[in-house]
Amino acid sequence: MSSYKIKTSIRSLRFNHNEMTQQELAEKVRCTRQTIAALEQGQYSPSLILAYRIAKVFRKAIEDVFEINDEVE
Amino acid sequence: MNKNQKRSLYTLLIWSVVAAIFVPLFFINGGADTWGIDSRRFIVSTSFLIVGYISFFVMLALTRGKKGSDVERDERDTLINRKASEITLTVVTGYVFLTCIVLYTIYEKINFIPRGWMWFLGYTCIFTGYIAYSTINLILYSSKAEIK
Repeated sequence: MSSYKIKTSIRSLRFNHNEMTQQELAEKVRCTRQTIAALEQGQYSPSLILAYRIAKVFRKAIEDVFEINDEVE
Repeated sequence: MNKNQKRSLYTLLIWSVVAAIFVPLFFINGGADTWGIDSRRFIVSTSFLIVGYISFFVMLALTRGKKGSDVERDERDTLINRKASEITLTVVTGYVFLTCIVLYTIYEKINFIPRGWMWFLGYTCIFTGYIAYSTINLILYSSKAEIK
């Protein structure tokens, strides 16, 4: 069985985009502020659609925003 | 605390109060043995169940978001609700199984189960379902573990 951990650079990307708030990003990608907070804290793995929308807001590729650390057990 | 957490908390409160009233009410004055002949207890407990449902639906209506307002529910909420539903199913199934086994064991020798227990099982299934679902929702929302 394999498990994985997703790391994101959303926090730093927000900061570099005029210090965008979590709420502003949430509104742009149509999710709740709590989901953005959970993503930043590594407590939630986003769907492909949400990952794509977030990457699009920052004009980055998905792999520039999200990094998957595979841990095979 | 987002809207879904608030709804879970209110659901937990409403059904905990109804359960806390129903269970002692069931066991006073003879318990299951006299349930069928004591219509007063039956009417009072049914009234509380109806009040519980009315309070529950009023709460749902009052906490409903306005049309066109900010996103109040997204994929993470859906995932948490789905996981809570799956766990609740297991909890309720386990509760029914255990209750049936306990009743069977108690009444095995006399080959008879007072019908009041069927009412008890029916009512408490509702309480168990709502209480378990809302509690699991609250636990998952506050959990620091990653939700996948």
